[in-house]
Amino acid sequence: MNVGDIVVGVFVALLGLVGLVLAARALDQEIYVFGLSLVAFAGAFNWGLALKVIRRMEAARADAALAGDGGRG
Amino acid sequence: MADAVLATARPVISYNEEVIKKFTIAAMFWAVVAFSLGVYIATELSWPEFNLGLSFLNFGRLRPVHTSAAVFAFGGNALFATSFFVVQRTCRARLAGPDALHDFIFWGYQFFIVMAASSYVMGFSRGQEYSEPEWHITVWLVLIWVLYAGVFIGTLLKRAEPHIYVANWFYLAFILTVAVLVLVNNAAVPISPFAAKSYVVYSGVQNAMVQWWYGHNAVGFFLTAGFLGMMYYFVPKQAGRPVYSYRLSVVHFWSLIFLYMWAGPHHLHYTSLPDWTQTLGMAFSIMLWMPSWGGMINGLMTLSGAWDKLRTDPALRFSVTAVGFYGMSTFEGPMMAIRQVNSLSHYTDWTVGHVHSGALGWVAFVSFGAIYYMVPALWKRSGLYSTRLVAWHYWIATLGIVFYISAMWVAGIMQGLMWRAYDKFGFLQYSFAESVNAVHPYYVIRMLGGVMFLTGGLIMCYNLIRTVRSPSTELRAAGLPAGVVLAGE
Repeated sequence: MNVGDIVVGVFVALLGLVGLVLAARALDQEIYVFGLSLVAFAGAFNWGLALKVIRRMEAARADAALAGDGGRG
Repeated sequence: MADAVLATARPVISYNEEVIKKFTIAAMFWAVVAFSLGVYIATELSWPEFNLGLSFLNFGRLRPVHTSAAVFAFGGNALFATSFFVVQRTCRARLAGPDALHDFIFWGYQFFIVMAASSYVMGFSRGQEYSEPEWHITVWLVLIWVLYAGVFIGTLLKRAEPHIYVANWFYLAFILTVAVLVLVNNAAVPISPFAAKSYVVYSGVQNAMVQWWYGHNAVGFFLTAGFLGMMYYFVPKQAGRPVYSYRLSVVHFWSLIFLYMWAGPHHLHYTSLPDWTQTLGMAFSIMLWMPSWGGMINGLMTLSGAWDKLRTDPALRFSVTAVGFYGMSTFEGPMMAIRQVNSLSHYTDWTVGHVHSGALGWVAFVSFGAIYYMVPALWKRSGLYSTRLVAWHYWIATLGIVFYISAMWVAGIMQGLMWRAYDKFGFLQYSFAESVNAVHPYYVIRMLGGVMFLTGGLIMCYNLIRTVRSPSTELRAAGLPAGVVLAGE
């Protein structure tokens, strides 16, 4: 995991929180829908980001294992 | 040996192509959405029963969905895709910032589009053309735009090439100016941080002036400067020739961005805006002829010595025809800005025809040309699945545009003439309803033109999907020089 992923992930999570506040205190339907959509967006984005990071780590682990046994498999 | 020398001289740079692929797919998806909505609302204008009595299918709500889908969703995604494609290659540098940030820009922009569209459908709108989203959606757009500008400028700053290629100048002008335009025109005070409704800080004619300063420069910088960046990269690439005159491209750039800023008041002829301001807008609009045609000539002359490629490369045909339409609509625009011509054309369908000759002929065609070029390069394919399908797309879409704009010219001029016709007693000769009735056949022709343009777009989608998936377009890697294909150059 690199610093860029963490910064973007935390930033998007904060935006999700803003969405939650907007939806909770909405005075009209538009802000309510926007707030909830923002929460869903932040959740989906960070889920995708986490999956990407996990895949990258697994690939790096597999590469390291391959290099460890001299590439003999 | 030759490959080894090449690798030493120009190391292969790993560009972020994943985000460009996403923007390209999104551009084609939104193109189909925008064209379909256009056809639907054109059908509503011909036969109003098609709104089915449902508020969210009303023309008034769907019209901004169509324009936003065409301009910001299709055009915007095409600009994001090509600007990231061009800036990395011409700077020989990977996009600045982490990949997660590029992904956020992509998904954040799609979120903006979906939120804006759903907001219009629900009946929320500022009621200002091309600037309909309420304040909270605009704040989101500003956030995405600032990050986009940061990535683009950051990539320019870390470039490995000493020179900034002219296409990047146009992209940069587009990015910076759109930021300024959106910020100024959207200055508004919300009634509450938790309510969508806001009131613009300008009032009366000042608001109209700021709106059309924004509106015309949205055309000038979003729909012109950005796509000129596309032209200056992809036309030379497709033609295999350098830009005809680099000096002319620089003159084109500075004169265009200086003059466009002043042309907005031509949208407000014969209004309460002071006369001198209207005249100023008209004069600057006429002056815009020169840089616009300078750019068109530069684009067309780039094909000197390569005109034969038009016969074998239908994708290049799109780009070149786009430049032709650019010349045509930038001639028509200043002409319509002349006060006396405007007295006939304003509020008629002539304006709609003019906008679509630019949007379909210039913006969409130059984007199609660029996307046809980019897709095989991005997905590492040997070429397009079918150049024959590209040719079909080209002719169907061109014919669709001709149907559309000629119908709107006839309808618009007829409306203008009917509205100003007096009888011998000095009364208006026609009622407004009579002019609506008279243009009905042309509205049907316009709708058919839209159907043809949409059909062309669907053919393109099929061709691109097959290009990516078909075994017939797989690269035969052994025969290709290392690095060259990877770079997509």
